[in-house]
Amino acid sequence: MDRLLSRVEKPARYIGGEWNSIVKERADVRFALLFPDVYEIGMSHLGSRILYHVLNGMDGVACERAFAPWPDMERALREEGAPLFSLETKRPLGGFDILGFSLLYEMCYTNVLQMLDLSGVPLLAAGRKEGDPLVICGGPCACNPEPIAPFMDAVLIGDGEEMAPELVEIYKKAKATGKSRAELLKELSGVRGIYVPSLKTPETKIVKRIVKDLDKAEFTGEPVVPYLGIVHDRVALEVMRGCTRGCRFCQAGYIYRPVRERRSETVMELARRQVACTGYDEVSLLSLSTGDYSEVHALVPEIIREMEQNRVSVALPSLRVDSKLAGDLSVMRTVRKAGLTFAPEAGTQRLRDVINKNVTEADVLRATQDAFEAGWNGVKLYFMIGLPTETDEDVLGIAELSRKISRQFYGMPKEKRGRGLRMTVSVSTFVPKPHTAFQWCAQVSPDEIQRRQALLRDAIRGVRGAELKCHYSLLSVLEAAFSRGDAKLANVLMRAYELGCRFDAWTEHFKPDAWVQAFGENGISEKDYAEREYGLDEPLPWDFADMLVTKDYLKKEYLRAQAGETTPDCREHCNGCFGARYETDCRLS
Amino acid sequence: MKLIAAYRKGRELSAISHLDVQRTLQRSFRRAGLPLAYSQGFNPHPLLSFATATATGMSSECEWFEVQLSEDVTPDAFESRVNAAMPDGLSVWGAFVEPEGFGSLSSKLRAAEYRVTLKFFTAVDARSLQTALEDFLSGEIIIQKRTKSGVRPVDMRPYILEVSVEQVGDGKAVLRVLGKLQADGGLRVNSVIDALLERLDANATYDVHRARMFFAADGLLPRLPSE
Repeated sequence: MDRLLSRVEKPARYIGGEWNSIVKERADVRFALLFPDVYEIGMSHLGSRILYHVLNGMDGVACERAFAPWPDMERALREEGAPLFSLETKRPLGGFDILGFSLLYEMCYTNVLQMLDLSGVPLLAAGRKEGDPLVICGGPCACNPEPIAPFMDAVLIGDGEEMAPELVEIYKKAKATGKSRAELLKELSGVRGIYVPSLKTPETKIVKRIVKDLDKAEFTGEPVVPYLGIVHDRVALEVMRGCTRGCRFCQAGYIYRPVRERRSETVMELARRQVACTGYDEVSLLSLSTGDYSEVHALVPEIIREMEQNRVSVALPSLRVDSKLAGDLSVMRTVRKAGLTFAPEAGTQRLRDVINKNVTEADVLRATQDAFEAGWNGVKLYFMIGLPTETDEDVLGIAELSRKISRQFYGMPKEKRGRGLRMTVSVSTFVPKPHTAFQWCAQVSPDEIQRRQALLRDAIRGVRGAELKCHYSLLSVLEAAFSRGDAKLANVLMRAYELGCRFDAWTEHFKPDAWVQAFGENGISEKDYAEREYGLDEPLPWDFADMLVTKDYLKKEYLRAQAGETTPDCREHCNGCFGARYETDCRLS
Repeated sequence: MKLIAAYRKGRELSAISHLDVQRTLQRSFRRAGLPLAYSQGFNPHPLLSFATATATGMSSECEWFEVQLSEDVTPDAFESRVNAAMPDGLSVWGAFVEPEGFGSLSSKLRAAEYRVTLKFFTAVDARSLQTALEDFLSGEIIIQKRTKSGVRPVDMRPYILEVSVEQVGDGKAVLRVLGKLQADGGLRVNSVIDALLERLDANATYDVHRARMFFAADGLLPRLPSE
């Protein structure tokens, strides 16, 4: 162990022993909770924190963590002939009962293979025998599991905090009674939300699992407090799951439905307990759109006031442009001056209507005005390029909106505003995602994306205080390919892994040539997937995963998008996205 | 009020950096519910300062620090409350109330004693080690010191107060190194050990443990026996 640690750049990633980490010497079932990215990223993931608490709360179950070893550690492990191990008891992962991966983005898939490989576990589910660990995964990528499915014994689709313990319970009984792997998988396939790829038939339908009452659901208990600075190094409180806005490009907005909330008293209580048991000096209120949380106006001032007494600051990411929180902005500033982020996503009203981002230019300008008057001079704007129906006018609209904001700032009397505007205009490339209204749409070709970016770069030059951040990468093409991919991509993935692809989302490790080669050797191209336009009535590889929102509803939304018609927020009016099923699960309908 | 105390950083935590320790102490103090005093300004932080930084890779018995509190806490209560909130491998000891006008720990710091445990890949006997060491200490010990303006050679010999061989055998050796350590610089133990190994033409891995820290005589902090 010392030898391994002396050879790597950040040994603290592998030592464990953090405050609140749970070490169980004895257990009937050992579950390795795996995150296919580096420690600092994985430790920031809220879902893993929830599962760690829930699984360790089970009788006779030990849940331990492991993260993808950085290339320096991978090299050290291979050269020492040592297997990948857990942080808690330093056990080789191959000796665990269950290996469970959290899949948050497609470009971490090669690290799944890396972790299995370094654990000495056969990569393909078909190659595993009695006695090998059960390999499972969950997380948002599970809504189209096909590219990764051949590597998985089971895939958990939907909310995990009840489904994962249920799986472990079934495993525990099967282990105690000496059931075979085949019998276990058969039994698991009967559980709502669990997909067993080896048992898939043309009739297979997996209905995603949901936690009905978020307020009563288990949360993160006493979260582990890392030594290393991690990406989100603070108490994270989930106030709401799901989103009612219906932005047509947004996968999270569709797959996390229905909207469920925690009561503000529950959130306050969690905040107190977690601050006390972690010693963190910052809490963050998480959801897809915190401004829409029903009790936001009660909770935000109260939590800021109470936390401030203990010198704990409150972060509010995902606050939308049209949130009526201007009044609270001045309160927030007394705690810590964080940057402000707005996501208009598109440059013109026409395109914002197409994507159903129900935000007007006036909304944006009102919010920035409030922010500037409250003394902010830093603002971040998020846009996408390559959205369906986009024209050059829409691209130029991004520069136009930025110019208006800049003029607004510099038009204010000097004594009333901050000194210099720092406006970051961040432009990403649109990636069509399964289970969205744009799941049928093609991604715009790389050449065309680069042309549009150049157009924007020229147009935004001279906008005072604006800094444009946009770059082209094959990465967004691969992301498009894998998010809408099918089982054939598993071979590509395997080949890319063999060619050395790891940590693909990290610019310094991304190997575009290896990926192109991996596709080529399988006789396909990433473009076939990314730029494929599906017919509305064509079967889609992810149709068998029922995320509750119906395909008919998505079709309707697609057609409304083409017509530039908006759809109201479902807090105002039920749009029937579940198609008259599961109505009791949605308290809004 | 201000308290002075030392923390212990165990072997198992030698991999964590000074910044990690600093963060962990602050969080432990908050978990212990201590009335921390904070700095003024936009980003207030707890008033916590160290005699010196603890290098990544080093364990220690005695990292002295000073913490300012907004209400009185007895040294005993401080130790027991903090130790109940500290992760394994870290603990505090030796707390006392800092008298008025005490001055900073870093300005009082003079020297430190290290215990270096070497594991040789090749056999080394006591006599040859002793001889090599005497020869090593008889002249300049030039190491390459990395500074802001690049790498420059520095003679480490003046920083070495004493080196003795504590134990040799089974391919292992323990050295006790006493070196100068002051706010403006000090002995770089790792560089000196690397230089020694080079002189010995030996291959070894080693751990550095700071056993004691010595300060200017004030009757409260440990001082060099020779002073």
